[in-house]
Amino acid sequence: MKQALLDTIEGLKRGDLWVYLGWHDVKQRYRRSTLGPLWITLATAIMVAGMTVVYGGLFRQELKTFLPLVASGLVIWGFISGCISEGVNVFISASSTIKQLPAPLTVHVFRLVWTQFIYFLHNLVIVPVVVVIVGLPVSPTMLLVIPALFLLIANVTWICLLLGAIGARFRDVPLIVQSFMAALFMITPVLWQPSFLPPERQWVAFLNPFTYLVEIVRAPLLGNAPSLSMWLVTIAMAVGGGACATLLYSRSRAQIAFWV
Amino acid sequence: MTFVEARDLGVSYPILTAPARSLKNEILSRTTGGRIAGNSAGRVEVQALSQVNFTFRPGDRVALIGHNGSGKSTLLRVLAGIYHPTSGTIRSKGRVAALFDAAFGMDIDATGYENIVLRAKYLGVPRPEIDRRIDEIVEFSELGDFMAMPIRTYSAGMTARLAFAISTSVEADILLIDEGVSAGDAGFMAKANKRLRSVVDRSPIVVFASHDQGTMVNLCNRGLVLQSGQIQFDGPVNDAYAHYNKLIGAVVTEDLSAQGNLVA
Repeated sequence: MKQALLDTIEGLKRGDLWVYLGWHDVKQRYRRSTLGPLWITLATAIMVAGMTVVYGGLFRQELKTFLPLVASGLVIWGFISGCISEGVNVFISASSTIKQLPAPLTVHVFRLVWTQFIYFLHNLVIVPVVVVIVGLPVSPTMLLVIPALFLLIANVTWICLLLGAIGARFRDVPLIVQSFMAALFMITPVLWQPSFLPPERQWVAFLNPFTYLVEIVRAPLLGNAPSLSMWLVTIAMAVGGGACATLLYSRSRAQIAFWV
Repeated sequence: MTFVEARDLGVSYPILTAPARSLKNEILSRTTGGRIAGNSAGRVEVQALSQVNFTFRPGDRVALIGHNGSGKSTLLRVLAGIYHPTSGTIRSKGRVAALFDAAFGMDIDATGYENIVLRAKYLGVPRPEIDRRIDEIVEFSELGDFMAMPIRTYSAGMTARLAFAISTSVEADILLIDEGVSAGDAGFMAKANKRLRSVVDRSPIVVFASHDQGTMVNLCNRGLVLQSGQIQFDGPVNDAYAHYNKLIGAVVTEDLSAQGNLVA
């Protein structure tokens, strides 16, 4: 346990390494497309437009209120799902490095979260544009997005570490996780909100931990302050999940090099 | 002072067969008491090292001697901090550098320059030193303008040269060398040998695993004979070879004084 914590701290201290590696990953992605950085944003923007038209129609929503919901939802979900689906493979895809170079394994987790965060920032550009288009009032409440993002990052980091360790040991887990991602997207309030559901069925949304992760960032982005319970649940998840992940990591840390 | 000390060091790891790699099977075997999913789902433990004791001090040039699977590479990986001991302890002081299969772990989509920086960052080399090394590596590897091209455009020999130049640009207190450090074409080999020799000479402790007896005798002053993960002999390198050859029942036919090549 102590070793696992030390590893995490040691990993954090190697910030220059994973920041560099993260940028390196992003640059590689730029290189593969002619539009470069713009491509990431454009692809998301097209998706936002398409989803707004289709689901706005299906849910009988006014475009003016639905567009910001979809834009913020898809941008946040892109970050979460990117971290999960890549996170379950985090140690497997770093296997050649793990077997070759001694570095704290948490470095690979931080690198992944950082890379996904850079993509997220690319996509985030869309949200202010949408806010201006639909004429949402700009308020200081929006600054709450900063602490909210910290909480979101803390949560996806432990999820990455946990899934990465399990995925390295059990090779069917990456496949299982990937096949559940689409379902998770549908049952999480990304394109909808719990209030769209009939009251007696809203518990489905509130039992889902991802509801809180999406909502805590979305609310301030659109100028609303998240409720106190929202903050508490997210903090509790970060602490509880972080402890679970550290515990599991401390038990598997020494074996990951053999598994990958 | 630089040292490495192993006390009752043991490493065992599971060989996971396909069924044991499946979470579904794992759960199934729990619920059915393991009968349906077969005998403990095909898990085999390999005792790669056991009860290993040694202390390396500055000036030690250690040859790890043993046939394939005797635990040489595992020991090197433990020394490098890649594998963790499952029993006993290993303590060391000093910067460790490992020269394993160098091309492994390079990013083929990144340029030569980027790969130098990537590798150096992993090893925690500070930025000014990286910049200094880049010039030196470029000069040695003779890759010129190719340094700005992705590695996947390189020939095998060019990749090997770059990998060799990067991994031998280290400053280490404890140098670990696994056999098969490859350096490309024959013309380059002499230059590579010289460079490897100079790295070895300036590292206080060197641990070397190779099957090339000539090289090992030439380079090392201490030999550790490993068999099935246990140390059979620890002493002067010539005595170690004598012991090893007796162990495997082979006649020494090779000329020990032959000038062995460091680079295969």
